[in-house]
Amino acid sequence: MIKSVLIFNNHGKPRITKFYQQIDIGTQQALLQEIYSLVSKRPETACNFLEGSQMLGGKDTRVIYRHYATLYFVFVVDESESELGILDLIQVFVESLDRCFENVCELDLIFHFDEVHHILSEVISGGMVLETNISEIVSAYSEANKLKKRSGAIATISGSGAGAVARDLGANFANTVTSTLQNTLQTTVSATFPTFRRNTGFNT
Amino acid sequence: MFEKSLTDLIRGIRANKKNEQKYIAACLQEIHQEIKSNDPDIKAQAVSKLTYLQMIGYDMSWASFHVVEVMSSPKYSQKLTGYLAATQSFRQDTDVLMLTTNLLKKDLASGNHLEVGIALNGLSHIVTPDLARDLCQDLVSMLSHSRPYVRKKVVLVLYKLFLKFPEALRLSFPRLKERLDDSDPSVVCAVVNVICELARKNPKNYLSLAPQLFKLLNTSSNNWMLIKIIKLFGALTPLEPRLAKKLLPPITQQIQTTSAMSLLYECIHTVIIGEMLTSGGNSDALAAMCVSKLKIFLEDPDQNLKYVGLLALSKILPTYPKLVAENRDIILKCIDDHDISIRLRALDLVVGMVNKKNLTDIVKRLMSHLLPSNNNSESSTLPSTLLEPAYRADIINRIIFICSQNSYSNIVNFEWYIAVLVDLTYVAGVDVGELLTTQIMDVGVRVKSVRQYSVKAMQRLLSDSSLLENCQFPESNSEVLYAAAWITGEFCSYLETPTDAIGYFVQPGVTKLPHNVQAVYIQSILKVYAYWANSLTYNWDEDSKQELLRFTEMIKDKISTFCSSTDLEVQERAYNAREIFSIIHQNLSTTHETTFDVENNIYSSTNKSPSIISELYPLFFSYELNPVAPKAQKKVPVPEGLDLDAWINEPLPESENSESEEEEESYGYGYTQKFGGSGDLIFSSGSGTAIGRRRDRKSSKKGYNSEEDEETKEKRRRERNERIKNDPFYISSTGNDLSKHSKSDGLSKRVTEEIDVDSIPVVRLTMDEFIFKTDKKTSKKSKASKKEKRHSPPPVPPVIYTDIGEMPENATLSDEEKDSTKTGNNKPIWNSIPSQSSGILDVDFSGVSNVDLSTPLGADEKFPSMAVYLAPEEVRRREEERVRRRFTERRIKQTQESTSRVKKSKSEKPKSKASLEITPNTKNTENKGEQSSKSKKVSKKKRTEETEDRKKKGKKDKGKKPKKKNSISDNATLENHDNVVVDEAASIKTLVDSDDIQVLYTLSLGSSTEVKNEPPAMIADFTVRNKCSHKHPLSKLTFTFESTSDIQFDKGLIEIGELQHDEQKSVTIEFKVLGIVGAGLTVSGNIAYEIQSDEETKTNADIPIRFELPMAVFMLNIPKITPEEFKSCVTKTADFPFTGSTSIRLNASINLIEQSFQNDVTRLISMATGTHIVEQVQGAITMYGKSVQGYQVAGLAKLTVEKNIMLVENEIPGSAQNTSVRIELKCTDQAFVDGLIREIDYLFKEL
Repeated sequence: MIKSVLIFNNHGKPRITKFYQQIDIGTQQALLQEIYSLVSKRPETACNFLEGSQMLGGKDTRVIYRHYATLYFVFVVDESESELGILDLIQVFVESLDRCFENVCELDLIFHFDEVHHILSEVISGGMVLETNISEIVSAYSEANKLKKRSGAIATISGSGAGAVARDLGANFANTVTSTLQNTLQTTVSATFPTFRRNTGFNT
Repeated sequence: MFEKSLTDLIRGIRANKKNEQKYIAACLQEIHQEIKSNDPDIKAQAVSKLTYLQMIGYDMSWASFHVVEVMSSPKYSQKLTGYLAATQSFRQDTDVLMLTTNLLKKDLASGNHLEVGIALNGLSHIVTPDLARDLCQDLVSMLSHSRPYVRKKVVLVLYKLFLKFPEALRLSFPRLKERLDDSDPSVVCAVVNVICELARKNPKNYLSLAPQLFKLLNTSSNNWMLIKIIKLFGALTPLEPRLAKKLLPPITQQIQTTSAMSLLYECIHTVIIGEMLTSGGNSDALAAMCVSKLKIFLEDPDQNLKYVGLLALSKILPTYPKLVAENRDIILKCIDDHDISIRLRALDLVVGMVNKKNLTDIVKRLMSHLLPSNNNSESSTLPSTLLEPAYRADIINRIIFICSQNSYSNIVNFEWYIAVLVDLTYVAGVDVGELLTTQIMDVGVRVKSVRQYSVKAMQRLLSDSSLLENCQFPESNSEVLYAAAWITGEFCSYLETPTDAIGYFVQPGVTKLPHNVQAVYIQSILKVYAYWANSLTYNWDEDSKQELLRFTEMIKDKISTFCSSTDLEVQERAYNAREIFSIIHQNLSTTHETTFDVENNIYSSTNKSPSIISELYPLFFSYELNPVAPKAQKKVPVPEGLDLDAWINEPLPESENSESEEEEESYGYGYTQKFGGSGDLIFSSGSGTAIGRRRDRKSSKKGYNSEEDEETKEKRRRERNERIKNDPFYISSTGNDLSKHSKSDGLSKRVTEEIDVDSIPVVRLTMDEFIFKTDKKTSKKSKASKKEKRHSPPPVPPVIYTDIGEMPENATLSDEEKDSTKTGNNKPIWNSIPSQSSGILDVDFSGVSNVDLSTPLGADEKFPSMAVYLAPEEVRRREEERVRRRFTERRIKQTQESTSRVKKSKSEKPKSKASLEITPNTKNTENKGEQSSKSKKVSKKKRTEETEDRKKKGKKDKGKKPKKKNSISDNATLENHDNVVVDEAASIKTLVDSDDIQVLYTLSLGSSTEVKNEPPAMIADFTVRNKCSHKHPLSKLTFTFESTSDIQFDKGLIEIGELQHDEQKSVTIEFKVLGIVGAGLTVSGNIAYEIQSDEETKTNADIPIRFELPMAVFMLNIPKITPEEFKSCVTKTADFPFTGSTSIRLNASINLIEQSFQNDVTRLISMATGTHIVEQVQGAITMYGKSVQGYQVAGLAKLTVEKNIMLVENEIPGSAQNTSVRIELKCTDQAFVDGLIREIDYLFKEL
């Protein structure tokens, strides 16, 4: 089971917090801060598994994260998930974000946190992996987006104004996947799931 | 209009970085307002903003009701917002969750799969036992939804449902299982996911799925799913050894061929945890392959692979330590890896790899992690986490664990170990004082050969003033002085200069030490003094006497400082000690006189020391403190005639539970609480302390006598159950008991026997062999698992360098016992982080894991039906019905009264009579006007005026609408009236009719065309007439209307001003209907005015007004459609998902089968519903209409007239017919059709 998905930036500001168990908001924040303080100290060359969380506790609870440019994607999982599989799942999630937002950057996540939640809900449902095929995820999202527009979404929320600004200001973090982590993880990612190579067209 | 959008909020927060909290506080204020808004957009926006703030730590539980409101919005985007807020903020105890049942039901049944999707996702977060119970049937039926998108989500949500409502698992498992053959790979994957989760908790339920899963394993190429399936098999194979054999070929093949590292890893992992290495034929080759593959992981430059490689090794360690040892060099290298995660994993392994040869080396490596390294270049590469307290404490715990495990069997040189412990005291930098203290004492007591060294080392600690100075900081580990003092005191014979030691005990500053340390200090002073004084007596002379005297005086003085301690224990001991010293002192100083007498009588020499001193010594040192051998207690022979199994007191029946509790509790007493897992392990392996002894006895009883023990236990349990059965105060928990029992047995034989082995298609083996194998395995296992559970010490070989400890006389360690100690040689795996047993994000699985899927479903096991709850609308409808019925009764009574009154007054008699005794024909006409106005007066307070009202109304109806009457009387062709009918629905009605004032109103639609997605606008025209009986003018006439959540007025206040007698004015007011258009929409307000009866007196009047919005008002005046169009419209589209129906019994008193009657009925129906008559045939009518919101209404009314002979003969002769109308409506909106039906009912009830 995936127990939690956290996205925060290099300064520990939360971008998405998702807990698949209901815990109170104070604990949520404390946990976020603890994981941030641990993860931010780790060098880029270190592995993607975080040890030493005092708060989480529990046998076989693992914290798996990936760092993309300005953002940390952290998954808290238990032993029934494959460690390497989760690493790839993070990649799938980020690639889906990249496709949905077209060159995603941190500001997209800031201003469209509700949509990020929606995309996440197409990848993980109730703590279990729902879909790993990026095209399926993206098509479900865009279909929903169409319906949303039709139903008359609040213009200011889904308005493109914020997005336009965002694109000017922010650096696309998914692209850094190619430049930094992707390279170091090439062996895992591409070797793990050959299908990825077909899906990673955005890298070019 | 000026509310902040979510984007504005986020921008604002980013712009106000300096005073973010203040800004957010202001925003929250606004949100508090906005969320109460009637505008659903604003409400949704507020909820959306709150969800964002929730993420950054602001509570939003107060808004949960509004969240539900937004969730129920018909708009997709708002629904999405609402559900997101719910998933983020709702808790199990959120009270509004009970309101969501019907909402979820509705959304799950939505035709739009995306809406279903968000409802499912929402449910997966907010599901409670109640929701799970009510919705499980809906969800299970959705397993065969046409869209895979929905199916896969349903599958995953079901798992969450099972957690909350375990009964559902049994009920729905067959359906879930079918989905393994789903055509969509994602759905199959989801099912595998769910089964994998379920099987982790209770694998035996899912053994029967093995064939299907096996097929998937061989056919699928989806790595995600393969990983899960392989993980699943890892849980299943330990239960079914034959499965392992069957699985080996495909898994071996995967290991050899796959290019995906994660799949490869999972295969190896499953081979390890699935115990396939033992059961397989060519296990050596497989093991070698696994290790060689793992080597690839470990040697890979990718840190992630290295990490998981170490992880896998740690899983192998307990069973195949040899395989791990092959990789020792790499692992040792990993200890110094710069990555802390890898380091910790490697440390886990190292703990299991330690032996006599490498112990010192490994400890040295670990110690170097604690020391701030001198080498600058090295320290720069170390991440700062290495210096963190948690990490340091972890390292120290590990050092002590690896040294002390198996009763220090790995330590060759105990002096070295004492040195290590002393060093740790200084370098620790974290609070490990207690741990070090107990270690030092333990080693000191157990290992005789090291005592001299440790006393020396302890002297060093005692003399260290820095420990004393920093004793208030826990990191300084001053607590070690406890051990130092105790060892010095106990083994003072090794002291070179005892007086120095006493000096350390009374040096200034010791009173700052913790009280327990001080107490030991005092005791140690006495011990050392006793030893020293006694040693003086061997060559007693005047010098030694003087020295002793001087010294005693000194101690007596110094010890007084302890006497003022705030701690009672210290104080008491200090007073005791001081008293002893003063007695000695007194004794010594007076020996001159007394010894003479004594000397003359008894002693011949003056050089004899005072007896008090020689008597002090044996007080402390008569017996040597020795460790007790591990088996000592067991070897104590049971005295004859003592039956240990006999009850001393017959236990009370209730004590049954407490016994088992006590058993469990006893695993965790004492040191466990203090030290967590590590302390427990260390001490349980000990044999020198009382704790160790007690524990050993327990475990040995359980461990070695388990067979008989089980029997007697079983017997006792049976007896107890028998007793309990008849005890009315005891709630039987036999089911529980059983499961607990089997659990505690680990994989007991019973479990294995229950498995339906025949259903597993595996390689045929001879049954004998199989039984033999399992038997051996399970018995061994159950023992092992039991031991692990109880944290009992692994039986250990005798301690090296120590004697075997004390044994009862004539008892020796027998060979047989030594053997048994060897078999249980599975080392406890070091749990890296001393953490809570359960994590904060852990789920409660208890319910699901107890579900048994092996038995078939019983007849009484059914999905719970939903009859328990009614939809809120339904509740409201029923309530209103009840009120209305009561009102009608009252009204009838009133009418009767008024009739009698009227009869008396006689003046209006004919009219009121007419209204009561009308023929059906006229009754209809009369009521048409009357009915509506009456209904509007439901809550009207001035009921007393009612009769009058009605009189006037009757008059007015006739006067104002003569046309209407005509139209009814000559309704030959109904078609002509279609438009009129609609008009009539909006006809003039009376709102207020009092002595002073009369208010009439008409309702009409604000727009003549269909407006979708916008609240419909309505226009109400009021006509006010001053009919004041005294012809006074009315002034300050105002209308006020209240906006409600359903109805919103742009302008709620209208001032009319003055109204002269008989003057008539008209006002118009517009309003929007925001709420769900259905039954019970009411507009309420007030009419206030002043009556100026003469110059001085003014009377204020305030009349509450209230009227309902009939459904018909919402109907558009659309052109009539032809029967053909109607037919195609109804049959072709599935646009009418909602239906409503009613049947009305008409007690017509004359022959009314005629066309005219039918016409009347038709008119009534179409008036109530605002529909057109499409077609009319004998006995049946079809209707069609469209509302301003775009709802379509299609209706069918059937008129049946039957002769009721019984009635004719026995009862009222004349009423020969029993007529009833059945009306069925179809509509695109549920609330709307409900409202329509209700109005029809109401209208006919008036008849």
